[in-house]
Amino acid sequence: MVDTERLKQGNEETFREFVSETERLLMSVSFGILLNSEDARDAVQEAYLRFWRSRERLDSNGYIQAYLVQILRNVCFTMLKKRANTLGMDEIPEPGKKENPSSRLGEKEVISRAMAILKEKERMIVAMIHYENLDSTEVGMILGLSASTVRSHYQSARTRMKNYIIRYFPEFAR
Amino acid sequence: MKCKEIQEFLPLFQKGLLDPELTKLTSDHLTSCELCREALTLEKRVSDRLDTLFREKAEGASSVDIAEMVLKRSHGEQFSINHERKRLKLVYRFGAAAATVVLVLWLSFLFRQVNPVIEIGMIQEAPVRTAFLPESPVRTPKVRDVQRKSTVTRLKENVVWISYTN
Ligand SMILES: [Zn+2]
Repeated sequence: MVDTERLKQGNEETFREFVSETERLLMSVSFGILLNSEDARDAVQEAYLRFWRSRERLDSNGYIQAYLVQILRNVCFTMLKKRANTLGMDEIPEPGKKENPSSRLGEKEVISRAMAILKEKERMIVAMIHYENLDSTEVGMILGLSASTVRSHYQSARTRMKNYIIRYFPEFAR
Repeated sequence: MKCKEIQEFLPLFQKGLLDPELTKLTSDHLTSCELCREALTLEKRVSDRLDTLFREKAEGASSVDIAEMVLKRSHGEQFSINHERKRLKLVYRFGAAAATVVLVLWLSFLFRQVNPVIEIGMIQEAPVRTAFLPESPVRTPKVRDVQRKSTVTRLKENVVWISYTN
């Protein structure tokens, strides 16, 4: 854990350390929300910039990861709103669209599409659990939720993904 | 416990997020139920693909030095902020100087244009014969009586004689 006081004072070395500690988490959350790697990278950079700009207002007793993720969520939301009219996700169509059964998608695409049907919060949770291997308590701390709420979101997200896959991509389930 | 319930636990079970009691129940059930073992296989595959997906997407980030880019952008902003401040300071200084000049010009213009007519009225019904003009920057004020027809003769720089012509 980096020293919040040093961050507040604008110590760049501490900031570099902080970024290397948290960038994977941020990138996974960002990708989880936006489902597009390029946008995800832009959003992460923007989130760190906003964080760095507002460093003087950091709460020394607060959980800075949670604060950082909150900034990122705001950035991602703005991006989602902006691209509401333009197709942005990595080749991901409207969720729930009837798939052509003869179209054989790679397993990765199938998973991406199944992710797309989830709600933003569920996608973030799935992202943190799968990429950073965080447990439900850690995810809860970052999102300001209880561990059991995180678990139930995760469980329902995975159930919906599974049902979607079985329905539209039965060959994946086989 | 029914298969349906067990299958709902599988994602949490397989990620080790299930509480110990339910974990035990689930794993006992799995040893005896072929159907649920199949379901677990699918959940595992989904889980593995999710891991891969995030690994690929998120690792793309580490090839870029985010911290450096952010600091550079921040320095750039700081530079332009300082630059902007200096520019603004100059603008303010110039503005203040220009405003002073304009004010001085305006005031001198105003004093030139001060109403050059000095009006003399009656003082307690008695007509005023002599009047002292107020100190004024106006060089040659015109003097007239507002109440009666009169001719005004200038005696001194600031003293006039008024003769009434009924
Ligand atoms: Zn069973």
